[in-house]
Amino acid sequence: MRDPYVTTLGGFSKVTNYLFDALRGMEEQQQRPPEEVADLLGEVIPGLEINQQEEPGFEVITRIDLGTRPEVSRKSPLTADDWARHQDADGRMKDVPDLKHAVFKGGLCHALRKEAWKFLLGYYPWESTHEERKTLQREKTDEYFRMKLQWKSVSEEQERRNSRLRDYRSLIEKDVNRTDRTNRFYEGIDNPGLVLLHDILMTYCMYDFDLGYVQGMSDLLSPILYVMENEVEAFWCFVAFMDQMHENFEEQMQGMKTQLIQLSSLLRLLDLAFWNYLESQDSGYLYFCFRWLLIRFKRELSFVDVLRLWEVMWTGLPCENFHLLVCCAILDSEKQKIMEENYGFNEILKHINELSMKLDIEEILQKAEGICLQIRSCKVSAGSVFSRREVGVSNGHSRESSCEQSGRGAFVS
Amino acid sequence: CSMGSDDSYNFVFKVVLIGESGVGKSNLLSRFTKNEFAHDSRTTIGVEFSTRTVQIDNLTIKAQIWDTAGLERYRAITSAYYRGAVGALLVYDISKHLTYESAERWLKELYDHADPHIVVMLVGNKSDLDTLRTVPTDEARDFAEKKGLMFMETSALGSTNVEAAFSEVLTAIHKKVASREVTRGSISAVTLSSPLGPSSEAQEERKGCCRS
Repeated sequence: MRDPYVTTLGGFSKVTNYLFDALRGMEEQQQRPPEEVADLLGEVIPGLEINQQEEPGFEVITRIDLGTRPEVSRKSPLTADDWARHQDADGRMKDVPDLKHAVFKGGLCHALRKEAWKFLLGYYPWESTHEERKTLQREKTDEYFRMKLQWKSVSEEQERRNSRLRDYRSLIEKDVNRTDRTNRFYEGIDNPGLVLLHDILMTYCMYDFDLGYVQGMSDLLSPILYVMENEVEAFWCFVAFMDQMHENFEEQMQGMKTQLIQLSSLLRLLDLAFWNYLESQDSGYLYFCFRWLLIRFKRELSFVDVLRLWEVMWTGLPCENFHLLVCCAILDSEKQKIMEENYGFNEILKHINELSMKLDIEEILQKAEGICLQIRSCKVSAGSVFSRREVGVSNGHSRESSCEQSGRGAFVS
Repeated sequence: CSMGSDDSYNFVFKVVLIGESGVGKSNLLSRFTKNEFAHDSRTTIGVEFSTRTVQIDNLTIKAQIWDTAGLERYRAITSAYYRGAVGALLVYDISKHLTYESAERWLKELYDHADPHIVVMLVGNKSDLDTLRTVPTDEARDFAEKKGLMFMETSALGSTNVEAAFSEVLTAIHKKVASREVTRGSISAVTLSSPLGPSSEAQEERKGCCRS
């Protein structure tokens, strides 16, 4: 019987120290006690319960025994009927955890997205009634047009003296013309979709003037507007999505830095051999994942696959930061090629960039969920180890053999 | 063992495209490497690169052209990729004076992160928009001269001077490398002495040899 180890929020400084080490030296982190590694995983992937095996007498963390990755299957998308069954007469959603789980496992039928995304993104509260949502919509419509009027009513003279507004507007104008123009919703000149894209982004500047508009945000809005087909609803859903993505776009790009560090730590724990390889090619910072993280795989997948991935991620299942496991899943599929072909700094970036539009979303989601289950049941164990190469190997083609290698018998105990 | 022209070369030169958002960097790249132009090409997020092999002075040069996001906020990431660059095209839009005014900042950014002997060309793109011009050619040429930069006006749309701009830069790089005008330890340290294989920034005498 294992003692479930529930991570705490208290270990932040410990974790940051650990992460800091992760980016510099490589030697001293062998000295980490198991609970710190569990803490670390817990920080990177909150909500995961990590089993911690106490092994008295050994205080040096040496490996994470991931075990085999479970087979995971996906289900078919949730239908309008399924959705209706989860709604009571007043319109309140019932059995929400169950519903979210179904969305996580299969996504949504396209016809259902317009309704369901508002709940998933938090624009509609799950427990709200039809009536309450109508009221909310009225209020939010007023609020939207009030903010829209703010930038609409800025005179040329005012704008001449407002460099930030001018900069936002000029960037938005540039980017709207470069966003998903091959999609029928945005193609051609004078497409009304482009005007909506522009107006929503300008209004968002009024909603959050400190952030304003930063490149990449039009990529996040485009699928939402495509699904909502409604300016006001698309705006508020975009606001909710931006609440999650805000840090990525801030001045210091703290969100990006944090995620790259988290991903690097995670990868090192899951697959040290590959992490070491990347490090040896000056690629340990994982800058080649920048675009993945900044706009949540928007440029990597076909438009319909983006819709699927995003709705799955918005369930918040099976753990927070699931997108980092999605990164790990993709890298897991590519690592063999990268290492066998002995790709260097340039080729790694090129290879990753060129995966765009070639990825299979269902396969990736299966693998990412599998990794999550693996971590959830992993044993963080202690002991002195001969070869650090044996630590935490987790993946794909080498799975069988590495499991043997990292079996408990391989360690002095 | 394939002997395709793309696989054998004497040098690899890494060249970066820098400059403000929307000046046409990605289209200069696609015009040069694929002879393509798209009015609605997407914004560049992070960095991307393409290669094209060209002949200069009977030598085969593999030009590895790096396209970077123009947005200032992303420079911390994109500038990491300046490393090893032996050439740069600093691009502005002749119809948008602001994009020209920022050239000095870009230059500083470049010299902070790249080899000090890097060959730099100031490129005034969108020369097809002559009626909307806000940056006079002479002003830009004087500025380039003062800063010791090469200079050219191009149009990725009209395919004007794109080939010329890249080949002048590549020729200048080759001259620097060939004349050993710079001492080892500076440009040659990254361009000539690296034993790392074709991925290193400029590799000497690999003619007839396979890429990997």
